[in-house]
Amino acid sequence: MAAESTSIFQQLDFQLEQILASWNIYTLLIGLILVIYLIYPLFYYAEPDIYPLLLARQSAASPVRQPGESSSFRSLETPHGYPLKSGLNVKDPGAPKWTSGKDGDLRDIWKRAVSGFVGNDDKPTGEAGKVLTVLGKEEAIEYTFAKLSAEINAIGQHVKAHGEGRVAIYLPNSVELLVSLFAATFYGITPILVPPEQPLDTLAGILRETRAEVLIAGAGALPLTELLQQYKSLKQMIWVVERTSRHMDWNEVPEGVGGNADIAVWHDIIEDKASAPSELPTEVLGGTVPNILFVVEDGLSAMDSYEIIEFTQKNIVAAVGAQISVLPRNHRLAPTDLLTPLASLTEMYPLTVTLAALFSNASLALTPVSGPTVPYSSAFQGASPTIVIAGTQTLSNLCKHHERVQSHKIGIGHWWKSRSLETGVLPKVSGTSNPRLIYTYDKSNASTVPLSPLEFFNLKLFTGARFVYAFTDPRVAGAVSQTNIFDYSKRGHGEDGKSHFGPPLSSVEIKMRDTGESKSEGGRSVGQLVISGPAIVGGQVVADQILCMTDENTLAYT
Amino acid sequence: MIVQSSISPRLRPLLPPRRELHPPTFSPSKLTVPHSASIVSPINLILFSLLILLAYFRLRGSPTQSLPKGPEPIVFRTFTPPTLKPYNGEFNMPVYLAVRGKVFDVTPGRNFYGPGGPYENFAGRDASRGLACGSFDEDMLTKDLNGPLDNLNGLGDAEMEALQGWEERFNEKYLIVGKLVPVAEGPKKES
Repeated sequence: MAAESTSIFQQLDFQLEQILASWNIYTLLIGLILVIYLIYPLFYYAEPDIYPLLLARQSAASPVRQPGESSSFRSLETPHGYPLKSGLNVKDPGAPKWTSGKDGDLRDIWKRAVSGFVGNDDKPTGEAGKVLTVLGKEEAIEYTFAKLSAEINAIGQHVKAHGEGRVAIYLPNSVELLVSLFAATFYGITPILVPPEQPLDTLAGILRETRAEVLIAGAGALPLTELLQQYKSLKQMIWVVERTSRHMDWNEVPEGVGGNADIAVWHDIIEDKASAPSELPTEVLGGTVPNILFVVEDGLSAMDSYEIIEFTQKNIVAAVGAQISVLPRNHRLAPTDLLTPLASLTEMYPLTVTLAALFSNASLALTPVSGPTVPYSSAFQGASPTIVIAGTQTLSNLCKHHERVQSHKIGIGHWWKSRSLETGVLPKVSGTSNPRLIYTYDKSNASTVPLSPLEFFNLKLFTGARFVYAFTDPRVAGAVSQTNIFDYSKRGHGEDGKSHFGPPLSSVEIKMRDTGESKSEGGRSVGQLVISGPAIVGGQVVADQILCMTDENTLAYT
Repeated sequence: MIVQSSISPRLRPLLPPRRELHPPTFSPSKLTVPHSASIVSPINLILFSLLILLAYFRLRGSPTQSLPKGPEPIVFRTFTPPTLKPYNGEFNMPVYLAVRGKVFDVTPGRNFYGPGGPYENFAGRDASRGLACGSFDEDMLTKDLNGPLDNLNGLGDAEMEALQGWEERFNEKYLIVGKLVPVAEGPKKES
């Protein structure tokens, strides 16, 4: 065995010994770094916010499909064979725990807001929220629900006493908007929610088409004389006057106005009936709870064209019930939350989320600075909301602002937080008053600015909040589908890499109908969106858009 | 060429390496690095590249988890008795049977309804009369596949009740994948 040349193993052994023998201080340093690098995650591992496979299949597809259509998709809360969520599940206070509650209507939402929080075991704890009106940085006026109930009685009795049946509400986000809406519901008057800042002709057209008899508007928001010339059948006008302008006399009608509209002023009505009870009527005077009319922008037609859509109370409570149950149990709307809608409450989706917050006894902070293009920072002047509802334009502007202003800081910190977000852990953001949840929505058939997946991803890093991106349709109360709050992916779908809109809500069922170019075959569901359920006006609606379902069973544009 | 001593190879690893010219630099006074203890010695390079490799694997990020896609949805079809007959489990076809005009996919119950099972006569056929009477005989099934469907005459209340029970069980347990119509009302064959 002892040849002149040593065997290959002996040579390898020799080489290995040489390598291992050449250790020095640097070896120790690198070895230490290696050991720390291997052991560090054992102590500092952050679990993702949600188990990742739960995001891999977010809605349930039916196993059978009709020819010419795709399979129908439903939320995982209401699988096929079970009824869709149709209401608020309101139980009487003394009822046994296992009774199924009634669907309810908007009056039950107000009654729950007044009476306080009811826990899971049906025991009321008495926690109640409050409503703030935020007027700039200095002033935030707080209202209790008892006082607002008295105001509801005052306004409702005033309008009813004059015999009117249809009231148009043309206000920015404010306490008066909520009070008018609930006064109309309690007293059997049909409310018509008109988005603020319309041109006069459009407003007159809306009033004419809806046959409004009473108009509640902010003082000075519209020229009354011209409006009365265009729409002569207005019977009553109620001005909502700011505190700073109350010294002026709004009651007088200029000469030669024409029409016989009575003019009243909001704060006078409230003061006249200051001794009104805060007990709300249990029965609706005039029979049934009224339907609510919404005016929606018809973005695909000519400029300034609109559509009037009438929702029943059942549509709206189905949507509100679905909004409450779609959030995970530990992240639901709670009495500790403060909600600020930056989008106008005359739109369906912000109103649905606000009603869900009221039903969950959260507090509201209403600011008149609201609309599609308001800056994001206006939600934080005077209040620190934990939940914000914003339009996509607002958020897109916020994203661009951050990228422009902080571009020199975007570097390793941003990269590190992006990595954390990609693994499913939301990184904390500096700042004390950050919201925990931000709602935003896309309107089909209207001109909304879409948020790209990368913008949506970066928004979570800039604001430190979880996001909900909802897809809404004009004829559907609430949303058709909305993203899971723990879904942090930034993958795009379709040819243009667009965002997805999450699984359908539990109040709707969706499927796709084949059109000429898009057919659902080979396991892929694409086509014209057909939505059905208790939250839809008329039970079923076909959207004009072509949408598809992604591999995670979420809704997306093709 | 390093000359090894006469120490046998087995003992060699136990001895301190003889080429070590400098002691390990533990002494704090020797903070200056001797010129031969360089950072690019082989062991350092190996450890460093190991570190870089581990850092790469950890920081590259894992692809999003996904579930494999489930089976494609079955298209709801209008069957006639001749078109339903092939679905009896032979040649890897699924097992269907019809009860009162509704076609059920009973492939999960292949042990019963498939070939070789006790109810195999029902596969691919209209099983209404057989289920009502509780019999698997051949004469419970309609003979003429091109004729009208079995209109269940001659069955008493008890049998109709039994059929109702069977139908409810099927509704709960199996998928409805089509409806059964006689040939006269069926879809025309496309040429």
